[in-house]
Amino acid sequence: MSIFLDTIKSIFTDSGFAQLFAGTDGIKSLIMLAIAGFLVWLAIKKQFEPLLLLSIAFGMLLTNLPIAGLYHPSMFNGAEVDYMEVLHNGGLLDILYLGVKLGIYPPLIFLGIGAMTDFGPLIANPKSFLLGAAAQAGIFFTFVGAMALGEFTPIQFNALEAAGIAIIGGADGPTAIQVARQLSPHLLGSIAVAAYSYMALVPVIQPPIMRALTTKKERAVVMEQLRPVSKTEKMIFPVVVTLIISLLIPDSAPLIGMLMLGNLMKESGVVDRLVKTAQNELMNIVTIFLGVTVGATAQAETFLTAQTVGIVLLGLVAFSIGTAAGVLFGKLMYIATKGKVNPLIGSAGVSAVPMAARVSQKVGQEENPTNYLLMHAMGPNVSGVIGSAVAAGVLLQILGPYVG
Amino acid sequence: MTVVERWSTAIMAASKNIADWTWGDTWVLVATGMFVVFLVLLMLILLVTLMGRIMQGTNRKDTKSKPVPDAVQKVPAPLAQPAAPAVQRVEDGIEEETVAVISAAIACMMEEKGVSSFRLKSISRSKKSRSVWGMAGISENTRPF
Repeated sequence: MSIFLDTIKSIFTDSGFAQLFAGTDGIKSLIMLAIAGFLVWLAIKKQFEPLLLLSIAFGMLLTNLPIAGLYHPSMFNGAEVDYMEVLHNGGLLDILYLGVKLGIYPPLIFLGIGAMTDFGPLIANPKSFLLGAAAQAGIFFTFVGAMALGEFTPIQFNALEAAGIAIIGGADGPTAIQVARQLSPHLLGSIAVAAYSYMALVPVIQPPIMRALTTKKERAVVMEQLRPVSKTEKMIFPVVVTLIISLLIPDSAPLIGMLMLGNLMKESGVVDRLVKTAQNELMNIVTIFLGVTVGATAQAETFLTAQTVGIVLLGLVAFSIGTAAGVLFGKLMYIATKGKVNPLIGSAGVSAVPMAARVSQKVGQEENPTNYLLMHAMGPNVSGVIGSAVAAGVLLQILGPYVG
Repeated sequence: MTVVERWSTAIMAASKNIADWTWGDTWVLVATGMFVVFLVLLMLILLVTLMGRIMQGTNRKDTKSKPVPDAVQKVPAPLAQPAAPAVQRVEDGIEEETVAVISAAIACMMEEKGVSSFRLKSISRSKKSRSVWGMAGISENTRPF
């Protein structure tokens, strides 16, 4: 009889429940579970990028369950990953996380994105490339900001961590994950949560900045109809872009290469089944794995720190500066083209596709209800995807040698 | 050496310990980053513009030149040339307005393909049971994004 009672007692004392109230570690896990719950609510009720945030939030929940051992940060945070250790002793999320650690998931997501993207507006108006470039200023100024934060506050970041945070300004989830997993893997969870949350907040963050930096007259500009782009051009474009960028910035090759492969598959029209898979099933599968495992890196020790607060603040700075830089460059183009370019499309250089383009459209319509800026804004929007991948490559190339 | 390496020799020459990172390194990184991003995208602009000119050049060669009356305004190149002879066979019950709309839509599509002279031979109803609006609605709802 006593054996029975002992067994029942041990089930509770050895369980995760007991761990939750055991000490400060337990309380921290409890707090993380609460945050995870809040993010799940944000994803479902407020529809904050649910495709990714839901998996990320639940991954965060799973990883903060004491004793369950789904994810062991110790296996991945050292200089070298012992893959045999992971395969033998790893939990479910450890093994799925290999896709992030080995850099498989982000390029595959870019494959799907390329298969869904139409580069037509960009090809028709190549000047949009410049707006995509200008908005990446958000990345580099955030880098400075992250380094500077240590001077004024107790929140310190070294250059590797600063780069991982700065890439949030690229407004591109897979790009941010690609940089963070190599340069600052211990911050990956916080960076991913910040990146996707701010992408969902683009319609809230951008309009005030756009209105503050432009005049009514500039906002009301109606842009010329885009020239039609032939199928041949749309097929040559991905090949040429891949060659140019990968030869100049080899570290961008995985992202740009897969983006352009997806796009070429779509434009060629001869591999319709593959395109459908890339757009749907592949994207969905990889999104699920990526979300859950990235969320899993957000454990109490690394998430409940002053650094996370810094990341959240810097994320906002990144998006704001990116928007401002894009709009200001748009103003420059407005002046240079004598009023042909509407500066509002500059903010779409922040590559949250297609959200940022829709925001440009909406703000433009406030001034002039018949103004249809969406297609024009898609040019800078997709150029921003390319721009942020190039910026990521630069960061990786310069800071890569400093890792470990 | 790649473009990036050449421009960041200051950083590359320094030792590879992150503790040695200085503010000077930070500014070099920012300058290099912005410069490289703009440089690469400028190159892409040049290439895409070049590509566009070549494509439009080859398309212009195929078009037969038509004499344009002086009174008419200079029309921009992309404007489609109307199909000169009338559609030969139109199924009964299709209005002239519909024929005009269909011709315009086809002219638009042909323009995108770079074809600027064509002739519509016949217009007839398709035998599909589902309405076109229904098909459009389905394809809209199943489009990703």
